[in-house]
Formats: sequence, C-alpha cells, structure tokens
Amino acid sequence: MTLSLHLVDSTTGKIVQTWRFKGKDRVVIGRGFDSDIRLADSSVSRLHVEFVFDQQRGGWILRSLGRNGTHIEGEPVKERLIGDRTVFRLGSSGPQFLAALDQKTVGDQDTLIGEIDAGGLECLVVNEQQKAEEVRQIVEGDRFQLLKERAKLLRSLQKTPPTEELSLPPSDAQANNIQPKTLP
Amino acid sequence: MAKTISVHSFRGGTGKSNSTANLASMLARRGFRVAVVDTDIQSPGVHVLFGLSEDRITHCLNDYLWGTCQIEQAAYDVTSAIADADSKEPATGQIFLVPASLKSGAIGRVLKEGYDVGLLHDGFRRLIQQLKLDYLFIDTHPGVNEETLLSIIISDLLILVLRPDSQDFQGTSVTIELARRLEVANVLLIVNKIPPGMDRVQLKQKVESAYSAQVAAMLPLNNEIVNLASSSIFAIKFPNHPFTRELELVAQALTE
Ligand SMILES: Nc1ncnc2c1ncn2[C@@H]1O[C@H](COP(=O)(O)OP(=O)(O)OP(=O)(O)O)[C@@H](O)[C@H]1O
Ligand SMILES: [Mg+2]
Repeated sequence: MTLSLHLVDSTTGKIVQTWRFKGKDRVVIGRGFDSDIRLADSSVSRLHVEFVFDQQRGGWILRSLGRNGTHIEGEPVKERLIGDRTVFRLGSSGPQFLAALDQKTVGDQDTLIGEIDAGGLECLVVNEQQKAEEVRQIVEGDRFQLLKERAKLLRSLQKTPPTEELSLPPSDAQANNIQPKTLP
Repeated sequence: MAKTISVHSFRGGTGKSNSTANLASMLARRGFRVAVVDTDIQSPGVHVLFGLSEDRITHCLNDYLWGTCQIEQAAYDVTSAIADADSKEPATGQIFLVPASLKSGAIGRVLKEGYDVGLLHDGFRRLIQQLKLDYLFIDTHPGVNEETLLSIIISDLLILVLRPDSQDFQGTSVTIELARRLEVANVLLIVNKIPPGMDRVQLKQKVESAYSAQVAAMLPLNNEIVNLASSSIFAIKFPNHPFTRELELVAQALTE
C-alpha cells in the first residue's frame, strides 16, 4: 500500500520531486503546515486533496477538498479510487502530480513522456528549406515518377469491378517488382 | 462503396497499430463490416491487439503475395475481440484481420524479393468483395517507402499519426507533401501521446496551420494503455474513457 506521489513539470513531463508514503493510510497535499506535501502555491488550498487507503476496496481513494478542485484528464473529480499512474492536477492549471501505487513502476529519473524529445511547443517547427530539399530528392527520382503513373492506372481500375482481365497488366519488370526499399 | 483507409506515420511507435485497431473496432461495434490488413511486413504487430494467437495463423499476407493462397484465406474473424463482456447483445458488425507473417525467414524473403504492388491492390479489392466490407484499414510500416506510398495511393483516406515532437513534426510535413504530389484526396491527422501539460488548443492550431490539414483527434499520453490494454482494444475495454471519446471523433468522421 505504498503510495508514491511525483510532482511533474507540466511543460516537459519530467518528474521533479517524489514523495513516498509507506505504512500511512492518509496523505494530504495542501498549503497548510500540517500537510504531508506542502505546496506554497496560491492555487492550492490549505487542505487541497487527501488520499485515504480503503481497506475494503484495497486501494487509495482520492478526495478533493480544495476550493479550486482537483482534475484528472481535464475533468474535475470529487472522489475516486485511483489506479496506478494516475495523473492529477490541483485546480485547473495548478501543480500536476503522478500517483504511483507500486514504487517499482516509476523511478525518480523516469519521465512520463518516454521517448519523446520534450521541448514544448516551441520545438514544433517545419524547416521549409529542408522539407523542400527532401521532397525534391524523392520526387525527382525515377521510382517516384513510376509510382505516380501506377497511381493513375490503379485509380482508373478502381472505378471498375475486379475481374481477371481488368487486373493490372504486367508492365515492365521494374514497375511490377518494386522493391520495398527506402526512397529515394 | 467500401472505404479504404491507410494509417501511416513518419516514425515508428507513434501509435498507428493502436489507432488502427481501435478505429476498426469502433466501426465494427457500430455494425459495419471491417477488415484490417497488416502491411507492416517488417515489424507486424496489430494481431497482438486483437488477441490473434500465432498458432491460429495458418495463412498470412505474405502467402497471398507469393501466390500460395487467396487473400480471404488469410483473413481471420476476430469479432470476439470486440465483444462487450457486460452486454448480452451480440456484436452486429464483423471484423477481420489479415496478419503479416511472424516467421523471420518469411519476412526476409519478402524484403529480398520485393512484392508486386499490383497484387496488393488486387488483393484489397478482392477482400472487399469477398468479405462484403464497408471499411478496409491498412496498417503500414513507418517512413517513406514505396509499398507504403502505394497503399496510400489506393486508399480513399490517409490517416497520419504523429507525436508532438520536432522529428515527427518535420518528417510528417515531407510525408504530407508527397501524398499531395500523389494526388491523395483526403488526409486526416491524429496527434498522439500528447504529454500532460502541453497546451492542446495551441498545439492543434500549430499542427493544422503547418500542414493545412485537419486534426481529427488529439490523444493524450495514456498510461492506462501501456498498463492494461496491450493485448486488447482499449476503446472496447474502456468505452467511456476520455481517450476513447476523443477517438470516437475520428470514427464519426469516417462514417460521414
Ligand atoms: N496515447 C498513448 N499513450 C501511451 N501509450 C501509447 C499511446 N498510443 C500508443 N501507445 C503505446 O505506444 C506503443 C506503440 O504503439 P503502436 O504499436 O500502436 O505504434 P505503431 O506506430 O504501430 O508502431 P510501429 O511503428 O512499431 O508499428 C505501444 O506500446 C502502445 O501501447
Ligand atoms: Mg505498428
């Protein structure tokens, strides 16, 4: 019944701090001094959210107590039996946490993003020059031209029902046996 | 008229197979007749999601491409994978899967010899006819390669899956440009594995304006997929999950 709470940097998805609670059956996050995890953030209430271990159901119940609510997947929740790796947020845009029930499932260095090279939205740009160059190299190749011709032929065939006579005529060997190799 | 839909991405691991299996299942649950063809001969994977065990597979796409069977002989009814455990109503639609071979030798042979793309096209058409399909989904191998471009050409719709990272962003722009040069009429985008905290509204605007194409769904990084549903269809297991509801937008768009 170990409960681990990981504070997540919401722009990178990286875990910035981890708290592990062993042998406790109630854990409180809030701004108040008696909180188990104390956050000095204006969007966090003195007693914002509590986790209570429910013996009968054998799991942790998240109960939202704060004024700004607690959100899971963007939806406010009042009370919920949480699963492993539940991500929740205090308020609609406050601090974000990941709750893990088995301490082995998430290491301190883990990220939620896995293999994504997280750099936020600023990294998402199309380098137009590079794109034009890559496209040019591919479309100027013979194979792409061939493919374009095949496309026309196949599309015209698609409008008619499939019969033996109408299946693709054997064209030159190259066109008929396109190797699945990477273009260009 | 049956609709043929290719699901592709520039890089691997974006969620093609997962999106394909979920969308196909949703449409079958709506009563349609659907098939999924795994053309990812180099790294097949979609059969796992449908719980099609390897010892049940006697024929596969590779056999058809070598001319040793008809394509419908390689189609397996996997409708049981979309059955709702709670409901007593039988599913009204039906779903089939044409797997790619899992034997390493078989994969090597296709790669070495190449396969006749005309044959692939004929096979799709025959499958549609024999199984009376409403939808045919093609799960593809990532990256720009000839057989994938061909699958794209013979589809009515191309669904491109991308993650919000810089490599995918650049690579997807090249793929879209190539699709346009090949006069592919319809392109839909699925942005998958959106990390928590990323601004979804801004992200959507950014993607749509960069590619001049419509974003059909914005799917968050969903750890429950990893934990619970690697050998089953998430949307069937969790029909009311926000993730499923977002994917419903795509399924809806496909029926319009
Ligand atoms: N939104 C998501 N959140 C978390 N995990 C996801 C999500 N979508 C897919 N995955 C996981 O990512 C992995 C790759 O997904 P999938 O196999 O569907 O990708 P793919 O594009 O088909 O990969 P490949 O290129 O290898 O065929 C799987 O383990 C899958 O469970
Ligand atoms: Mg795949």
